[in-house]
Amino acid sequence: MNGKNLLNSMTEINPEYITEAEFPEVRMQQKKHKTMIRVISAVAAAAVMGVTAGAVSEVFNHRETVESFLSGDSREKLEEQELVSNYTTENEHFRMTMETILNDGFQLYMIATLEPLDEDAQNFLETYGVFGVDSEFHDTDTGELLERHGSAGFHTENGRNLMEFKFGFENLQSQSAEMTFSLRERDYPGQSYLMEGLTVPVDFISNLEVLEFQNEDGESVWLSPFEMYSHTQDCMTTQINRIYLVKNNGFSTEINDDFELSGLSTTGGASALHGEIAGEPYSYTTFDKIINIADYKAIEFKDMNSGEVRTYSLKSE
Amino acid sequence: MDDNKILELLSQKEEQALREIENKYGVKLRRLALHFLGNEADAEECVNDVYFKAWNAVRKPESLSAWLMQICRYTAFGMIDRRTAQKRNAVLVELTAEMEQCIPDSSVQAEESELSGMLNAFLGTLPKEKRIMFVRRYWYGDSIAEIAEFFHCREGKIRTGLFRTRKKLEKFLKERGVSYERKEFAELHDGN
Repeated sequence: MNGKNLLNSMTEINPEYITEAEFPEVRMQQKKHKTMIRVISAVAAAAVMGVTAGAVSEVFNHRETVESFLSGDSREKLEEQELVSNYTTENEHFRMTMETILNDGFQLYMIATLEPLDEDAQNFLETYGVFGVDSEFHDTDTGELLERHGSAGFHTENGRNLMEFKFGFENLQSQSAEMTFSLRERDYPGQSYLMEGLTVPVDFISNLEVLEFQNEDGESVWLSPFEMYSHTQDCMTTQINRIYLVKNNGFSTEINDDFELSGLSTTGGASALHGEIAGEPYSYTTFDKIINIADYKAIEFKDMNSGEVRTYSLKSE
Repeated sequence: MDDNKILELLSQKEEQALREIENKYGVKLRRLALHFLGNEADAEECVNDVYFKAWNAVRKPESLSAWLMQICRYTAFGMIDRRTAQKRNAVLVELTAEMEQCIPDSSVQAEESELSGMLNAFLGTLPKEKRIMFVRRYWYGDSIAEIAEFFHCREGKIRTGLFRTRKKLEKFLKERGVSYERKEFAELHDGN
């Protein structure tokens, strides 16, 4: 028996399953009126799925989770830009909702809500509150392990755990992967089963615009809606530099004043995050809110010791 | 025209039945045939064969739509079996390779009729959305892009969903002792 036999055997499945999976006739027509067809198709898809049309929507399932990590009007921006995922995965213990998956080609940034479904999971959240979760990424087609990362379940609020993931990737040869989660036995003895089977599909295709800014030496800094990054190790270190984003109208904002930076203190005393990816140095600074990158025309780094200002201007195409 | 009415006309050997079937299901049948056969001439031949078989069928089904589609799929696969390896449609090669992943290594063979029963049982265990994705891919032969368009989601989500469902099917079949006759990939497409 081989794959061909199995494919042949599919012919005799229950006719109800064949009918259930029929696509509505509207999809057979030419797409002359794309918007209308999209609306009709969305309604039809909702009808097939047995959900109320309009529930095929673009608002976060848990707006409060997104708002706990991203300030200002970030949540609204993400909804307007259709960067809502709401992908749900569950086992008998937890339901995880991946609220959003942002990919600027440098890092993945994800926000999730973890809800307990049974007493074991509830007890775990009450006991640990903040905990470390390991993630693995397996190639969708081959199952090959691509990456392994650690991250934290950030805090537990109203019985749910709110999670934030940020990952840079070394080699993105694959287009898509399955993300799975695990609890380390040594840290949470006897609890590792709780997150088994939770999986989230992740595309490695960028879904965000990024702008490149360059200085007169040809060095670049990239600005995305949730971070800025460069391929030098000390660029983002606020012990060395004050960093200003210069708007198109000429007004500039010091990042430390307006944005809270991931990994940095508000006094700028800590180092920005840096390291190596695929043998190349990098440093990055993530923001606590989503910005409109089109508002900015330059980035300035002012050396705190020498006072020298290096300006990175928007690179023209 | 209502399906029951069409069936009634078919049982009375009224030619109008075939015209009604062509009007109502012709596009879907050609689309299904084209997925597997890869060219319009063969798809047209297949659909004509479907009408011939429907006309001559002794027992009429409860669901006209599913019945016609099943005849179409059978007919298309029969045409494929008669082809040489060089004329195999790339879609079928891809689908066969994906289904290979569902077959575990164990020691008991299964007949295709027995497999159909297991597939029905397996499909019954799936959530509706996953079942539809699976049927659209492996029964209708849809591309990943077509399925993603219908569900208004990324192709990666469809690929992941199908991958997981294939893994579940593998486990399901293994638990029921279904085995895999390992062959080189090239042999599978020589009709052996």
